[in-house]
Amino acid sequence: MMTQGLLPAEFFDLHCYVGKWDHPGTNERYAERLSSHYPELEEFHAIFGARLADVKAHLDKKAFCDYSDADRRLARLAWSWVIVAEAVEVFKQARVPDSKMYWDIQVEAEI
Amino acid sequence: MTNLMRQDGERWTDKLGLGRDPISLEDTISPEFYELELEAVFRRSWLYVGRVDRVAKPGDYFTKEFDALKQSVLVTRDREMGLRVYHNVCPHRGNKLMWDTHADQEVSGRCKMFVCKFHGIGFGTAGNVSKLTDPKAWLEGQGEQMRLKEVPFEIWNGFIFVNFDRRGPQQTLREFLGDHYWNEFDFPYEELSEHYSAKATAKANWKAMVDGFAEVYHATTTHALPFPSAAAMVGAGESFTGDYYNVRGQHREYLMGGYPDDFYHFDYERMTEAFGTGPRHPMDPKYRQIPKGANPIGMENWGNSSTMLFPNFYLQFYAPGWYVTYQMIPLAYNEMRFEIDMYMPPARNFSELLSHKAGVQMFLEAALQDVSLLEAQQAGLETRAFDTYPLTDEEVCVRQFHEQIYKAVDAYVAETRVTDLGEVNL
Repeated sequence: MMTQGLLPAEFFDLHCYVGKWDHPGTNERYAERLSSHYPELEEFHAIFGARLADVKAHLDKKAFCDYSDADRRLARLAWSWVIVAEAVEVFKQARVPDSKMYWDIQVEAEI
Repeated sequence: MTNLMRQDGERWTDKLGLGRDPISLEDTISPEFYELELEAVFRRSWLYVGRVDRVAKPGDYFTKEFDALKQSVLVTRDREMGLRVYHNVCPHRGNKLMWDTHADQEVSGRCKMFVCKFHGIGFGTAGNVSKLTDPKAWLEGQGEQMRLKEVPFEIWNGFIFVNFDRRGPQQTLREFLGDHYWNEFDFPYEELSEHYSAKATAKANWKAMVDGFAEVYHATTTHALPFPSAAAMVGAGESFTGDYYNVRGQHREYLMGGYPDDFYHFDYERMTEAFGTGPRHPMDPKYRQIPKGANPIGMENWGNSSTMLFPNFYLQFYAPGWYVTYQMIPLAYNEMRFEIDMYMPPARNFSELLSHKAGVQMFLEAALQDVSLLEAQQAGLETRAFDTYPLTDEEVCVRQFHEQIYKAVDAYVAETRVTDLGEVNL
């Protein structure tokens, strides 16, 4: 995958996560979480989490309608990060304990 | 989470005039009871369909399935007549009117007419025939005279309810809800237009999930991981309870105090300004002024309010000011579909949207913990190892709910003298 321009320039260090964590919706992001090895979740949680304040500062500067494709992709990584953080900080595993199913998300806000 | 009543020494169970005996949960595991309940409860109650905002413009439509009742409705807006609710059935040969690929799945969209896939007959939003395939083929006048059949509906604060009573509705929605719920729930619902919706099915009776959300006694165990402070309270010998409970006719409610606005359990919660109870970025203070009906005691530091309308509709408000509805929909005596719809004020920037999406995620994962217990609950009940089950004082809403279910079915059996569905252990 060509990495140039996938994310805003100041987030070049996060390009390596785009292939795995850029997904269009929560259903896909949770499926990715379930199919991941736990160390992969810990790594993404730590590395992206360390940049979250910068991500917020960058994306807060613009109105949603002015977002570039790179901005939108960065936002989608942030949505994945939230899903991963729940696994790492709360459950210490990929799956919600004792759950055999997940929600079928019908409607959600995306940029 | 103080319990005002227990500070006074009186049990909620006694204050609300409910008995103290252990309850039967046969209503949750009996296929025979389920069949009676469909008639006694679901046919005779006002049932939630969706919000008016989903059909804000003429031609907007959505369908809603009431699987167990074998009903499907089509909700739309006509330019002149306003909101319309029809049976989602073509009057020509009875094919389902609006569907896509899978006949049992709900659809939505906007169109100028509803066209039946079978013979191509089109109906306008006013219910009339607007396109008749090969008019010459029809016996004189019979084609043009067809109309979509209306379903009785009423609206409460933008929430649409329908009624499938075979006799026609025996109560208005206002009579069904009672004056407290009818009058005391004004709120700018339509301003909370950022909407999230999720569904899940489980092999459990629909009432098992109604019960699961009707009490917080489970929270310190089921949700110990996302809410460690609640678990710690119980570990330290304190109680984790609501602050107010009440029952009104067939319906019930409770109210809980909230955590301080800057309290978080985990780093990712603080970083996203979200919690297991949803988004917590500062919202317009007017949304914190929830309806009087949702906070009858005027509690200032309320955290969440739960209004549980018979039989299967919940309306909850969460601080700092967003709301959620639940429906627990019967599919079979041991199968249900759970639908959650969450509504918040539109995010004005990325940080607010992050708070919303993180709050939704955390909320759904906590709710998933509840749903995940249901099949084990159903399996355990079906062993019939026990005949009755004792309830804590905090579980008063569970007690009252089953009391109302049995009362409704008893009344139906007495009225109709139904005897051909086998013996039911009531």
